[in-house]
Amino acid sequence: MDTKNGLALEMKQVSKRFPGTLAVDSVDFEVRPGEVHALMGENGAGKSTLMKILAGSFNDYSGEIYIEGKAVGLHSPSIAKLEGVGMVYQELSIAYNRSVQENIFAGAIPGKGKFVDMKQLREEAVKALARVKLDKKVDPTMPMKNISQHESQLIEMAKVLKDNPKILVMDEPTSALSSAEVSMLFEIIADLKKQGMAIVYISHHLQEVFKIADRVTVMRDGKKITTCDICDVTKEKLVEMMVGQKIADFYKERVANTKGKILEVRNLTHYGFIHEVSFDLYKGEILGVVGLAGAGRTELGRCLAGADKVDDGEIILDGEKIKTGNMSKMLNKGIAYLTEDRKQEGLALRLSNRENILSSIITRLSRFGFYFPRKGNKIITELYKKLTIYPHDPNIGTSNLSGGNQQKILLAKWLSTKPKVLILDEPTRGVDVGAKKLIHETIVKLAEEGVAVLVLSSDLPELVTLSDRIIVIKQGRIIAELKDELDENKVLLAANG
Amino acid sequence: MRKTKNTSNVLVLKRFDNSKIFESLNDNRIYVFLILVFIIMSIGKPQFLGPGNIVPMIKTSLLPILVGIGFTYVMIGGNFDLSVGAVINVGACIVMGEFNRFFAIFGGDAGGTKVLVLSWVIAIAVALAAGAAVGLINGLLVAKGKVHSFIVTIGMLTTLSGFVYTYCKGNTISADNSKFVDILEKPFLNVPYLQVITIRFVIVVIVLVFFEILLLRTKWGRALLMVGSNKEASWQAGINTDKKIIWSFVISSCTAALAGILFAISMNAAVPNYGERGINPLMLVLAATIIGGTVMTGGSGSVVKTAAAVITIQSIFNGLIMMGLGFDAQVLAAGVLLALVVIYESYSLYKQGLKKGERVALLEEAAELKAKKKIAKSNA
Amino acid sequence: MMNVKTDMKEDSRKTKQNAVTVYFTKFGVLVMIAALAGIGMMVSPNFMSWKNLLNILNAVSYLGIVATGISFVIYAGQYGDLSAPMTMAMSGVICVEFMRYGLIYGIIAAVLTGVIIGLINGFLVGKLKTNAIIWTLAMNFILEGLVRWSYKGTQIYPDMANAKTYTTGFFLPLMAKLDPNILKLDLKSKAAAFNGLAATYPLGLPLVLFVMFAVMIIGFIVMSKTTFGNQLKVVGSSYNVGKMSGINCTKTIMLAFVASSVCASIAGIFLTSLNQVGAFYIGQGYDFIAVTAIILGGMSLAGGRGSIVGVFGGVFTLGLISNILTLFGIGTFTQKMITGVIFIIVVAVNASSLRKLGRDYA
Repeated sequence: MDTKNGLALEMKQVSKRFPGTLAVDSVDFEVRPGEVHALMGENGAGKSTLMKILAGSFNDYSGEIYIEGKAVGLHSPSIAKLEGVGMVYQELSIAYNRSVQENIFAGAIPGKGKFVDMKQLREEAVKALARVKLDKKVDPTMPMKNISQHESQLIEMAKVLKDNPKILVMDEPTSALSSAEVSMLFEIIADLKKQGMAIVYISHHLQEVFKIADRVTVMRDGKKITTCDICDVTKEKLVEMMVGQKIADFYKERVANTKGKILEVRNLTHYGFIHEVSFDLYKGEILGVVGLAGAGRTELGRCLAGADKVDDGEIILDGEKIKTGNMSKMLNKGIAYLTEDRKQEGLALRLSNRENILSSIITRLSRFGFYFPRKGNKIITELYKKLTIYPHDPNIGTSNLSGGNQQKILLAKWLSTKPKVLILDEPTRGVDVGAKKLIHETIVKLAEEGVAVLVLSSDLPELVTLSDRIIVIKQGRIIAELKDELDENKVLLAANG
Repeated sequence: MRKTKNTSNVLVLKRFDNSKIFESLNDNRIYVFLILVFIIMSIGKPQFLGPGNIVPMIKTSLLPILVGIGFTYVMIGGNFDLSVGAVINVGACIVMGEFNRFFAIFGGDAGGTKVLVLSWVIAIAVALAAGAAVGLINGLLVAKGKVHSFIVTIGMLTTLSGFVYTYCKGNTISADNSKFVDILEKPFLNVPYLQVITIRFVIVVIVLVFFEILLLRTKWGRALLMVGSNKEASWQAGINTDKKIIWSFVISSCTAALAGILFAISMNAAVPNYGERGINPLMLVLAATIIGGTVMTGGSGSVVKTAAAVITIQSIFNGLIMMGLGFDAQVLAAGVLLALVVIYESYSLYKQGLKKGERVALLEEAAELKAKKKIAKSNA
Repeated sequence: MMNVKTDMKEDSRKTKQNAVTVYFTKFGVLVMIAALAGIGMMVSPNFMSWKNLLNILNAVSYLGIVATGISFVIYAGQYGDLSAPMTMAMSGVICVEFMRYGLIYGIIAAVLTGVIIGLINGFLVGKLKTNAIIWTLAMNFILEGLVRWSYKGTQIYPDMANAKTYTTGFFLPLMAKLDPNILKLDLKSKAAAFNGLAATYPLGLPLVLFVMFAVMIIGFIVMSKTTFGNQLKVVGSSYNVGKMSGINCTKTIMLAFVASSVCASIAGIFLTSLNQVGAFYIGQGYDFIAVTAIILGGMSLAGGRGSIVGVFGGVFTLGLISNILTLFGIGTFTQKMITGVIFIIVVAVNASSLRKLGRDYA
């Protein structure tokens, strides 16, 4: 092993150009063996692109890459794998029709010559699962479609680890995990670290980074800002470097000004998802719903919005009982639901921003079966101004926008319906800090205007600062309601309770 | 914390046990179908099991079985090949036309057996090469050009059906010397039932077994299954996905061309519009592939099961004829069968979609709630 | 209060489409028409004559009606309606069966057939999310089986419908049982009226041409100006987004399939009248040619993009190609081959130009 400088990975002056943009701009990046190196930055800062270069996703990057001191050209995923780079992507790459073992050994099934050996495959799959502590839980011949989300995440990791990579890259591995599952993941990471593996950890979660990282590199606009030991920085400093300007106080205290009751939910039940959920919502109130992954947060939102069927219970809006399970009816009555899955359910990326915003109010802009989109012009101009959406031309295709601006378009789409009750599911997921702040301000402003807002979020600081009241949901039921002096510890304890 | 871990452990085992029997039954449903059809038909018409029915039935199945191999491969790769029907005609017409051409060039009957064999070999090679070329174009356009396979193969279908008519000038082509033609269909043993074993039959069985092994027992086949199930994941795993897709199309066109070649030689006739007015081979093969359990979106399937499905459908056809229902009833039966399977598949996917994300842990409680609601209702 | 302006900074992603691609997808078909017209004029001086253009239009008018219908299905992101050929045949046969009560009843019955077929297709594709290609192919086979089985594979001639179909037909024996008088109805004049449908020339132009323009204009208005059309655009672009925007996706997709089947029915009636015979093979090949025309006209197979104007362009292009090739003295089958090749090239070029932009492909 030629390790003259003792580095597991060294990237020198690495750049990657996309048509019309320099996504990664002469970045130097190094990782030592046996360290967890956090890579941070806003959306679009270039961190994912940098790691994709490392994983061999592009064959046209410039710059030099050394793995354990050896210069390598990472021009395809198989070369990268061979050189010892293992990548766990944020979007899981699961072949649902195939078994667990075939997923783990995709493209590298053991056997003699050109033939496969299913028995050996099974044995090795069990070994690979043992490395992520799943060998007793998951049968490797099970089809992947029967596997739960967090187990899939770990299986994905097993798939990467079976190649014994020198460098393990994880892109937002905890975004779909509950806190118990996160701590299990951290145990596994600690084990790997002990074995001397170099780990690159991409995350937005400051707490997580401070918990497990040894060093941190911050990127902004495709450039590296700095690399430093984690003990040398504070949360505020990190945020400042990511955003590029000083933020004094991230969240603003606000005094709730609630008026009359607007929504009554009684015994809402969707068998197998949420059971007997009851709560009230007042005008001008921001109600946070907290729960671990899989507790039924999103399902509650979808049932309220009429996207999923409701087996039992009733929803009373403004004293009027409304029929459940019909989204367009709910929308007309004034209940809007912003989905957590922007790309799949929120925005049609093939349409223009204008079409996306108006897609929720096509029937409202119609008369006698004919559609008059010009009537929406005023609404769009207003919303563009209110949400400072960039670029300013609403006729641009939505796919051309950054994540933050897309999220604003999604918010605009629901604001255009003038809702009485606005349900926001993960309103700031995958959004840069600036857009996040603006979305928070918009939520507060809406509440001041008398809209009742229900925020479903896994981002605890966000919930704690925004909400006037928090309900805690676990196993599909409401288990607690928190009102005064909300703080993260209290909420977290309640959610785990 | 410990408690939740334990429960989830139990749950894994539970869901595993529940689904396993049903899943393996569903995976092998085509064999259940086949046996059921045989039982029902033989009870209704005992002569169904006689050699007078079985032998011709298997012989008619040979062409769709061959075509089904390639069709299954393409569907496993996540695509459709609607051009197979046209490729059958291309294979059939080219082999006959080229044989006549080369036979004439080499001196015809005067040349003796040597010339005859040589002409056939060249003709078959040219026809297979034509098939491979069609598959290559389809595959390149789908994999490299990123055009939807449906569009590519429709265009190919139109092109080829025009081509084949032009090639044949709209006529039926027969071989100028039919000496070798009989060999293909001559049974090895003249024993009832075993009459089915002819050279054509043996070729089809060999090809079938070869491609089944290729698919399920080799790294290449497993990689193709992976590509069909998730292209992005396979690419990240270092599989050359484009190459796999292109090969699946080449295999599809080659097997279809081979089916046409064997059919034309054994009949000593090639027509440019085989299947156009009769039972569309595309319909039969599509139905067989889906009934045989190949997943419509790709990633799972087996060519032997497709072959079993072809025989099942053919049995139903023959049974209908025995019941005195004509050829036209077969078309209806095949359509209804295909439709039923498609509806079943979609409905089970739909049901699965509704249950997606359901918490196993909550199901017991849900049952309690349901019971409670029922009681409340009956009281009221 | 802070004034964060991070989102205002130039997002370096591309916001403008490549101009060439925009023009290609929007006007590509016009360029093709112009080029073809140029070639045509070089080949024959009479090419641009009013009479020849009318001939071309007349030849593609049946296709135009079918393509307008199928374009709704493609706009809905469902790849195509392969049940169109048998819908055409079935409607033709039904029209012949019912025309004994009067032509208008025949037409109503035929269109109703189309509506029912469309509703079934739409339900399966819209509600159960069945693969549209596979399902409509299955539907086509069922309809083919129904027509062939009920007529024992024979054809049905309007002017002798009684004699032929009394024994073999499906509806007539049924109706005759209910009301024996229908066998005595006078058929001669009604058959003449039916056969005259395709041979009527109001203002000196064939009636079917007017029907095609009417269908296309209505189709254009429905697709771009109505609530349904705009909802269809959202659903076609992304089913899930449509669903989560409070649009009834099942209903929308069902309507798209009904539009397709009804248009196929109308074309089927005219085609049956033109051939003066109802038979299962009457619409064969129309599905594929219609998809060819639609894609040539710039409609995206991925749904939500394109217009009926483009569809007209695509249909007209096919007519021009066929006309020019005939002028060159090239036979029908070779024409078919050349059309296929042109289709593959156009689609491949379109897909690759879109892909360079990182956009979805056709």
